[in-house]
Amino acid sequence: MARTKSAARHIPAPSSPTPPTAIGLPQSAHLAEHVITATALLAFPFGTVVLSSLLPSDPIKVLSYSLPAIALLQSLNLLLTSQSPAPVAKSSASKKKKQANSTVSTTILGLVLTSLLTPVIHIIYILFGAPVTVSIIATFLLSAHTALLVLFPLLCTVPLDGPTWIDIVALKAPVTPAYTAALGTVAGAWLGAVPIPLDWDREWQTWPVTVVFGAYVGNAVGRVIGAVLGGKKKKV
Amino acid sequence: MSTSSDSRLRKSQLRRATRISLLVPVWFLTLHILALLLFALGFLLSRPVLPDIATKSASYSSADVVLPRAFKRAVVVLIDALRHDFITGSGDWDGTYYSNALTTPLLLSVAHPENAAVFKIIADPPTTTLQRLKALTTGSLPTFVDAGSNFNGAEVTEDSWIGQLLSARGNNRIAFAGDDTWLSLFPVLAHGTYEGKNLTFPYESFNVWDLYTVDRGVTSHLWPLLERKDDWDVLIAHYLGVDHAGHRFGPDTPQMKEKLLEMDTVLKTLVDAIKDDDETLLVVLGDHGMDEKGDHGGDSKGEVEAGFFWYSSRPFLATVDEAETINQIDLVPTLSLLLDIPVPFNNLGSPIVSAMLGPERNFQTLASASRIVSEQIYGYRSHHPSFDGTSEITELYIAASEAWNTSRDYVRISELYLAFQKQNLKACREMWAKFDVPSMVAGIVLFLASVVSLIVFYATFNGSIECPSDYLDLLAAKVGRGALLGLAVGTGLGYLQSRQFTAAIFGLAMGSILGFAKGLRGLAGVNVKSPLSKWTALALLSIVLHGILFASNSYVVWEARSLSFLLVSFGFILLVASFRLADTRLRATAVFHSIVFIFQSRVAEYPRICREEQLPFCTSNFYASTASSVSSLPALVVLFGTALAFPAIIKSFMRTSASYEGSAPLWVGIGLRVALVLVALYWTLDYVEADPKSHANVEQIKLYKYVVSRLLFGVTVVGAPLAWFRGVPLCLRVEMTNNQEKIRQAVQNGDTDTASKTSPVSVEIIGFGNTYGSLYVLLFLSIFAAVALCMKPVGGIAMAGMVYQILTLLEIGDTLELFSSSPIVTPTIIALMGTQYYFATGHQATLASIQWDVAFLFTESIRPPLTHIALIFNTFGPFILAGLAVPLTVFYKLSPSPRDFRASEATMGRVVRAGTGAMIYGGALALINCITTIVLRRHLMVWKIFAPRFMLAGATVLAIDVAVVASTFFAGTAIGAVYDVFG
Repeated sequence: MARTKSAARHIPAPSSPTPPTAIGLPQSAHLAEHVITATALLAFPFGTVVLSSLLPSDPIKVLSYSLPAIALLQSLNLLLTSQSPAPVAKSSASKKKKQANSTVSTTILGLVLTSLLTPVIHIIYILFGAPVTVSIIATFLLSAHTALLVLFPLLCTVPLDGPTWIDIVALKAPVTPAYTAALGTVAGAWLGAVPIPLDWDREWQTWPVTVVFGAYVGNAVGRVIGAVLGGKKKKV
Repeated sequence: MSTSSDSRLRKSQLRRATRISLLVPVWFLTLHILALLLFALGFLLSRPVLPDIATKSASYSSADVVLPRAFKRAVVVLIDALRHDFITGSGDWDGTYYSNALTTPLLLSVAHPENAAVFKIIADPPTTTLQRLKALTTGSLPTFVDAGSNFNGAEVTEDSWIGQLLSARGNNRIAFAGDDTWLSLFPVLAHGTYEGKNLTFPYESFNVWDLYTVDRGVTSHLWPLLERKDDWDVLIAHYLGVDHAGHRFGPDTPQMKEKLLEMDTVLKTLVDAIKDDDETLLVVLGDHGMDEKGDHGGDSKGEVEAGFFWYSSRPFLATVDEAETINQIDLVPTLSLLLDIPVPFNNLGSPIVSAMLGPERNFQTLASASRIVSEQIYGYRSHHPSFDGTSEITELYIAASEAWNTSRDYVRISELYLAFQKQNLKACREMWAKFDVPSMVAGIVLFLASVVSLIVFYATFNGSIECPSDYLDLLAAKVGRGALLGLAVGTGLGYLQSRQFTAAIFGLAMGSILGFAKGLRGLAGVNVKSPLSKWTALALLSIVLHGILFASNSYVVWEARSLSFLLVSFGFILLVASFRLADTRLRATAVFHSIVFIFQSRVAEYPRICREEQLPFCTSNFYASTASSVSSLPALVVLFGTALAFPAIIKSFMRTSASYEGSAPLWVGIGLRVALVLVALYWTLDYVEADPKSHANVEQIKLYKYVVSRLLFGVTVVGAPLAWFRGVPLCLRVEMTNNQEKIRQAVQNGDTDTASKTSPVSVEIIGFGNTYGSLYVLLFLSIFAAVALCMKPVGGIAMAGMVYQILTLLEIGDTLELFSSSPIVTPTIIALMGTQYYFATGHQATLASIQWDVAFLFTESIRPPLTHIALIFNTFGPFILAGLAVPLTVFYKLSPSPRDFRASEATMGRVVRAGTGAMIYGGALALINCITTIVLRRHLMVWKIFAPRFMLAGATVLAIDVAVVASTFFAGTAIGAVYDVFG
């Protein structure tokens, strides 16, 4: 038979609903919020590497101890910045409480989903060349950190439906700080793998130190870029 | 309908189109060959090797000649990487671990200056053991590539003191213990026996991380050998521990101190063992030194300064200050004179003065020795093509000879002869150890110009050209004229600078490129449509990312993993692009294949042979064990599995376009399957033959092996392609449907419109949508089977994986419409996969990884075409398959346009354009490699890492180019065959 193909390709997807994050707060406060979160998250790799140099010597310890802290930090950031998608007309106490409850439950659900998806990230790291049979714990902790940086904010702020997530993977989703932070994390982790093969014999070249570092720096850069860009788009 | 004469005309026009299309890859292939030639001439220092064997000249028997008293025996102890300062501890401990550990030499030389001496010898770079051993035995300056090296690579075919000794004193009286590199250099050493007692004890030098096995083994054999001293003339002991300690830990470490103390004990015991024997000379030396990290290979001070110590209980040394530097190769004439054998023919060293003078300080001895060595060097010079008749150096020799004939002033005669030797060595060093930078730069300029031309050609040769063959015809004339003009200008200018060869080549190539540029400008109607599509940019980025790996030795060492990382990244980009598709079904297909592609890219990194520099972070799994080159049994089982399953994979891909019809079931389902089973059978026989436990008749198995391999080769490389060229049925099925019933029904229903429009019989051609692709893939698979045969079992599996990955990429390319949005990206990535799978087939960017044993795949001895084909397929198989797969990026799921001659010609043009994609990859990679190589030519690792990688890059571009030429020709045939049916 002749080739069967639809002629129409690359139809722009229907623009997804405006993300819930960017509503409500005044722009400047919003940006400040994200800069603070970015700084707080950045404090982790820089704090450990620069100040105590603990991460290179025992990455597993540092990564596992800091995991709950990072989860807490990310959750706090979400709880503070996120609002319910539907603008609340009249803010009655009960409604506020209800809304707070739903945000908390979203966060918990997000955490559960994030931890469930961590093995997928682990597999992706292996596909990119992470060792399969050795350093499993290190890779898994790296995956958990990556999941917290990439998936968790998205899972909590973006509706869980097919088209939205296809847009996210297809890099077509609207610019939000959570999204750009996720992309930044991916780019940072990718670049973080670059110095590993060099024969400099440095402690920080141990797997997965550079990737953790790259992921956090990428996340912070992405978040700030997203906060700036997202704000600009709103003005226009 | 065209008449028969018209169709004949069309056919011949199509053939002309193919012929003219071939000019494009042929031209670029020529450019690449010339550029490589220029660069390699400047970079790969080579030295012609003369096979002559020296004999004692008349001077030996001349009355005036007095030679030092000869020793009966010599013990040569080679301590690998014994740096000069390891044995010259001044007594004051300077805080390093290595000083004052190995003290016996210095203590002895101070106490008995006429019996022992310690000095510094200068090794010539490359400071690698193989080259140093050659220098230490032949007295020559081995370069990276010794022209005239024989087939087995390492064996020394030059005259050496080993060979001289064996022929002078009767065979096989050389005892040996240590690094097995000696045996690959001098296979004759393997037969070291005396009266039936073994004298040879080789140890593998492979495991750099083992400091003890070799040394303990050598020492354990040394003492018994010393007791049997009448059984041998020379005893060679080669210790590796110091070198390994340097590589693994570094020189200034406790491990090194321990190692040096162990060596000190060995030397002490040795000296004790020969202290009552005045017929034995003990020589202890390092083949090279090491840098501060413990590595070697380059030309830094620490690497070239090796330690030297000699001792005999008979006084044999004059107590002079050796003011001059002593070269490592000076040992060769000295040892030859002290053992009373002819000085090896190729020797360039001078006799060591203190030993020639002797304790009596007899200058007549020195003059005699210098004369004999000078005679040998002069003889060498007059035999060697690189020296011209008269020069200042020859005049030095003539002056010295005159002084010898006319005077008895032996001090002056010695000085004159030694001055001649010194000047000669200097001239040889300049000739053989200096990069020719202008030539290298010319090569780079040519590569740059050819890559730019390729890109320009790619950008201009697009769909906007109405008649591709006329366009190419016009360009070809300009290119040819430019080449001739350039050749003339280059030769003329080169004549002025006495650089004819370089200038002529450069002129020829640049002239053709300028002609091309001129031709392009003159052509009207050429327009570059899209400036740069996203996918094209990605293709160029991939090449650059691969290329910048060459800037660091670490990335070259870890290239296979880096490439896997790049390919996986590309796979994720494909995945993202797949998710952008709007059509759900297409999206699912693209996503599935992208994920498969990602997994394939990761798995392709798994089969590996580790290079020395990767240890201990790498474990080889290509063979049964890390220290063998025998295939493992599981690999054979998987190979059989692959043979059975692989055709099914091909079938599933052909099914997607319903083209598993016509020739396909026979060719793929039966032919390919049988061929691959035979491949597995061949390697099973090979396994059984190599298995020491099997009781099978080796001769018989060999016979079966050759039957299988030759049969398979004949069918896959000759028979099947010939059949294909003569015309095999296309992978199509014609399905006829009788519509009478339908028409009758329509008439009955009163639907006259349908009734009149429906023809009584409708013909459907199943597989029409992939007519070109399914035809071409048949030939591709036939050559794939031949390549798989020439690969070791794991390599064969990897090759099947490569074809699977190529098909996956083609399927993605079809779904994402990559072929039309950027004709360059798929060929580029396929070529990149070629490099990835080069590593997956058990190769590395080292000469040592060449699988020489496949030379005997078809024949028991070396037979020119078959041996070379086996080696080429084995080494460059992935690149050949990548180049041959290029037309598939045009043909895959391409349906013919019946009775459209223009469309057939345009298809040919698209094939040529796709071919430039693969050639851009090869050319740009070689260009980047040449640039990094010229920048890093003084790097420590230049001979170990960058030079082999340059050779691989050069071989890659040529292999890809040649494969593209072949594939263009095959594609032309395929287009002709399809036109025969549908034209």
